[in-house]
Amino acid sequence: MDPLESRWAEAMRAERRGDAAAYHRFLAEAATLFRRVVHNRLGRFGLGTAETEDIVQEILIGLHTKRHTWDPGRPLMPWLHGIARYKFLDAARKLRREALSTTDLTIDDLADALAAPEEEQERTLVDVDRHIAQLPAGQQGVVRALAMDGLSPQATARRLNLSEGSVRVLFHRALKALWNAADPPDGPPDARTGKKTP
Amino acid sequence: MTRSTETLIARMAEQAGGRSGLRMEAFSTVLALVVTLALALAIAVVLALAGVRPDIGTAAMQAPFLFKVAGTGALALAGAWLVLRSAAPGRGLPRLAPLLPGFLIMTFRAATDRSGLSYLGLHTYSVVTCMGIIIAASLPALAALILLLRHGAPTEPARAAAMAGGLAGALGAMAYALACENDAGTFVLLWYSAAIAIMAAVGAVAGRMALRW
Repeated sequence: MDPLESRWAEAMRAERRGDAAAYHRFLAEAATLFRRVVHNRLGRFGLGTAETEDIVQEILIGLHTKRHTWDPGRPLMPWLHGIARYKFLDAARKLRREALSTTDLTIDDLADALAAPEEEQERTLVDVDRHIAQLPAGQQGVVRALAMDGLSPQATARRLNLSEGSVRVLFHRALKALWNAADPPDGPPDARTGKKTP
Repeated sequence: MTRSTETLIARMAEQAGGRSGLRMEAFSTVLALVVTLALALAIAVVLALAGVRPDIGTAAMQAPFLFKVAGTGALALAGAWLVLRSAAPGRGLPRLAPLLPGFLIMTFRAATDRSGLSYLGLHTYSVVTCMGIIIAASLPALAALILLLRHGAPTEPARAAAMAGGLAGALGAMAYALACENDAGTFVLLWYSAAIAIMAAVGAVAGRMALRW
């Protein structure tokens, strides 16, 4: 029998006996496998690989909350594959929807988002740079390529080795994050200094 | 491995041994209980809405009634098998072949029925009444089956719920045989099947929302 099958099936049985250590080992091993497979599949689906870790976590959560639906009398791997596939397709659909709904974004949107009153410009630019530096690496790369280096979305996608769809998704998310940073929903962060954020 | 995934795994590992839902080993037993309960509920709805056919004493021993029960019963058995197979991944997608015997029984009855009765039933509203009561009797069954399937991990939610809808419809139709005086084989083949198909469609729509996980 496949050694992975018997080792992981035993770990799943150990989980039922409350063996946290065995279950922990199994989850970590499974996460490594999921990461590799998800990374490959995302590329093949024409989606960026920046979301790999999110999807791996989705699969792990699905596996954990549905672990009772594996019948220990049956092989584990087909079950595990079904769970992972379901969660992956779910996430891929979501990514695709996001990519489609953000195709109308342009560089002007970013320019608008970063626009600030004349007299505040100096300070705002520093702020913007600080905010951009706080974005996740994937979003940062996209924002810098699009807005600072003035590349087209196609060129950005090529440079960062992403699909155009994921460039748009990342850009859209960065934009939202920057909006929120520039104009926090519940009061400006420097309210205590008495100054109003633009 | 990133830090947040490590944290997630550590948190999940702490829950080892905790119950996360109805275990798959027990699923078929619970399914049998739910099906029995659903049939009882369906009979109760039929009795409340239509009552028993007046000639049940003699009819219960004759071909039309027996064929109704056999056909819908075969469909219900197949439906239960399909629901069981759709409840969790790892067994391949269920094929629809198990539904054949039920339809064959009804087709055989329709082909050999020499009563000359109309496929539209005895009364003007026979078709509407029949389908309406079957659907009404099936709805509680569908709800119960969807609640049960939520304990599973259906990887094709709409498909799994369509099977549940078909099973619920077959149970409703079986219960309705107690009330139904339309004994034409063609009537049963057409309108019982139509009501069951409608329930499968209702199930698919409901499952798309209720069975996502």
